[in-house]
Amino acid sequence: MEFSAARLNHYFVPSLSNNHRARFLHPPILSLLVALFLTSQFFLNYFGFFFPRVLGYAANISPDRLIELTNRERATRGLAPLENNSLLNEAARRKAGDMFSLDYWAHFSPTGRSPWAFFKETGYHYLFAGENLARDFNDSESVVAAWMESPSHRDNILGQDYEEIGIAVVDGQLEGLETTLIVQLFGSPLSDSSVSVEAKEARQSLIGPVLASGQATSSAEAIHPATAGIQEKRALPSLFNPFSLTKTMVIFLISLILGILLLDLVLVAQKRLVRLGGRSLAHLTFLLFILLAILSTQPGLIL
Amino acid sequence: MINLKEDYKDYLALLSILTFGLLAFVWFGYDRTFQSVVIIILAAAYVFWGAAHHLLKGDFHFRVLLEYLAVAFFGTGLVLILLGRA
Repeated sequence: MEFSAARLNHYFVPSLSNNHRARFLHPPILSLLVALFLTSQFFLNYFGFFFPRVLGYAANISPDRLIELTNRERATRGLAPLENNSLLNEAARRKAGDMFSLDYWAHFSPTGRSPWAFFKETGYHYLFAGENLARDFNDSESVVAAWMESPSHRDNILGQDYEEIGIAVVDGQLEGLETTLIVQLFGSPLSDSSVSVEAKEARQSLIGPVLASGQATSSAEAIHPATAGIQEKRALPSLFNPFSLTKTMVIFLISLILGILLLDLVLVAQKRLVRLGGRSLAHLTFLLFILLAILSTQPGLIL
Repeated sequence: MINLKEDYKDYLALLSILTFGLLAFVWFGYDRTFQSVVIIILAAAYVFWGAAHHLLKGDFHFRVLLEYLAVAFFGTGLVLILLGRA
């Protein structure tokens, strides 16, 4: 019992045996903690290769809900709702399929295909077009919230030039991880032949292609009736979310260090110890803000 | 030893830097690259604060600077690893 108490004191309480700083706060122990954490991250990275479908992002996202949330954002700003278009849905599905098959996360395919190529493939002739991408989110609300926080993505959602929307929500493996990819396409179909070629070109030159988050203009024809968005789900969801696992480990590690620093601060003040070293209060404050930053971090990427 | 009566201005400056950095980190939550830059700058500012504080108190030592660097690397590294997974 005495031995255990002495051991605990040595590791957690400033005393003569640990040069008046908890042993846990000495570089060797801290380095060991960091090494253990990095090793766990290393294994997490390569776990997916040996156990596919165990690691990934299992999402509760639906095209209908995404369209509903998008139109809700538009409605609150007095904008007309976007009509769901089956050709845009198909274009979005093809784009998602292309991203999975060529394993890339970008607006432009590695083969050089632009986002607008998928519009043309499905026969959707647009005057204005836009694209928003998202991956690794847990639910539809988070996706739209993230898009709305980004100026360029928000411009697409609230674009006054757009009339129609297409969505694909597709599960697959991207960059080694199971994930849910969302492709949101915006379009404004080129109306009938009453618009002269000169007028079309003038409109094009005024607007021009803007690819901040994927916008473009072009010339063509036709409008097609809307159907529901496209959703392709894998048979079994992934078991473990690597982001959540890492976040849990990080929170545990920082909380442990914070606890020991707080104990150190209190005991040093009580014992009126004078020692050469950094200010525990400063370290405590810094790591507390780091913890707050970590707690505020949510999964999901947009492009 | 901490003497908050004398050092409160230093800690107030530290709190201001950290609060500003945290707000920037949260505000640009949609841009992982920007968040990474913010956290690195915050860590650098923290090390600079530590060095300045100890220089002013007259107890600056290279080992003290190393300690602040280690804490900054530790905190920043954890955030960057998490952002890489997000």
